Amino acid sequence: MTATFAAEHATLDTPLIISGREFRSRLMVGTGKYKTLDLMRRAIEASGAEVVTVAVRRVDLDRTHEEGVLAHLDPAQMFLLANTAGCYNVADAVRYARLARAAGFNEWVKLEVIADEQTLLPDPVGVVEATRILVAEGFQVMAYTSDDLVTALRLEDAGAVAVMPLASPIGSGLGLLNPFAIRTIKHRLGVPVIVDAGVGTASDACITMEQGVDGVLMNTGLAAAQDPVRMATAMRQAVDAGRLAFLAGRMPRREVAVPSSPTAGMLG
Amino acid sequence: MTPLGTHEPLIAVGRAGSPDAPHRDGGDLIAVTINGDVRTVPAGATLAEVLRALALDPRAIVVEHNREILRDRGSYTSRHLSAGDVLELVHFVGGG
Repeated sequence: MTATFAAEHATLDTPLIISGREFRSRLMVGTGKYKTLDLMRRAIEASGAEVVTVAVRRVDLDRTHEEGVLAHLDPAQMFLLANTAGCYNVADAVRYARLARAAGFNEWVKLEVIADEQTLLPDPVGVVEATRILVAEGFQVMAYTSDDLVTALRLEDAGAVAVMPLASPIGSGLGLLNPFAIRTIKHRLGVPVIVDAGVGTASDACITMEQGVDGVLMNTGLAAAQDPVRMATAMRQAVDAGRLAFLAGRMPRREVAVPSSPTAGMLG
Repeated sequence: MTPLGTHEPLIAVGRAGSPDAPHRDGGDLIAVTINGDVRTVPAGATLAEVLRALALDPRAIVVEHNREILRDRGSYTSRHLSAGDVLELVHFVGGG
């Protein structure tokens, strides 16, 4: 079943809509780094994710390395979102996006222009430039970026259909490092905000969704868990929980205790 | 990069006796670069023939020929390779 609980209950939540397309789950997942492709398939199923990311790489003509991921995924059952991971300049990212589109599934791309090998932090200038180029070519660009508000605003101006700020560096599992920055981006942008990268466990996903963002994308948090299928189930529930808690509106924080039982009627 | 001539015999395209072989037996071989490795193919081989020889399903890959991305898979049968051509054959792998 592809959908999260909240998405299936219209009284609880509204659907996630990106560029006019309705998605059934606010959890998006990657396909990298699983021990086996069968484990990947089962974890994705457990996550309820509809959007599933893939990378573009050379075919291994000697067949000694990784086989194509589509042998284990049914593109009819999910929304394939190709990324430009591994691209360190605008030209490469644009080239990879075009190659991905030529595969014929859709016009969408998760655009990454990476700036630094150690942190895998994105190149804010490059990603804005690449977004402009790809939008002009008809792409629906979901742009991976830092948690910098100004870059996020520039990406929206450039025509990105969603902006994807990081929670923390890719593969770090450090969780949401700057909730304030993510909330600020969400408050200021009109396009959906999907937090991408850094979510390490279910509480990270929940806290991220509690900031009011539209969705969360993760890969290593599932693939590197001891039990990816269980973690995918946990993440699915955490995304729901965080989303519903945000919509519910939390009680104000107080630095003093307030009794929850009546103070009147105590025995004399 | 594999030096020309030291790699395994590459593609069966043009090999005598192959049911798919075009009538080029004894014809010239040309060097092309496929995914970074220099390989030899019969002069005039089409892209479709090369993919078949490499046992690749055209529907599962995307081809970039001399930096031109081919969006029409139907063009593979009419696209002939020339010496020095560069092919990139890509597909989707796991990624986040």
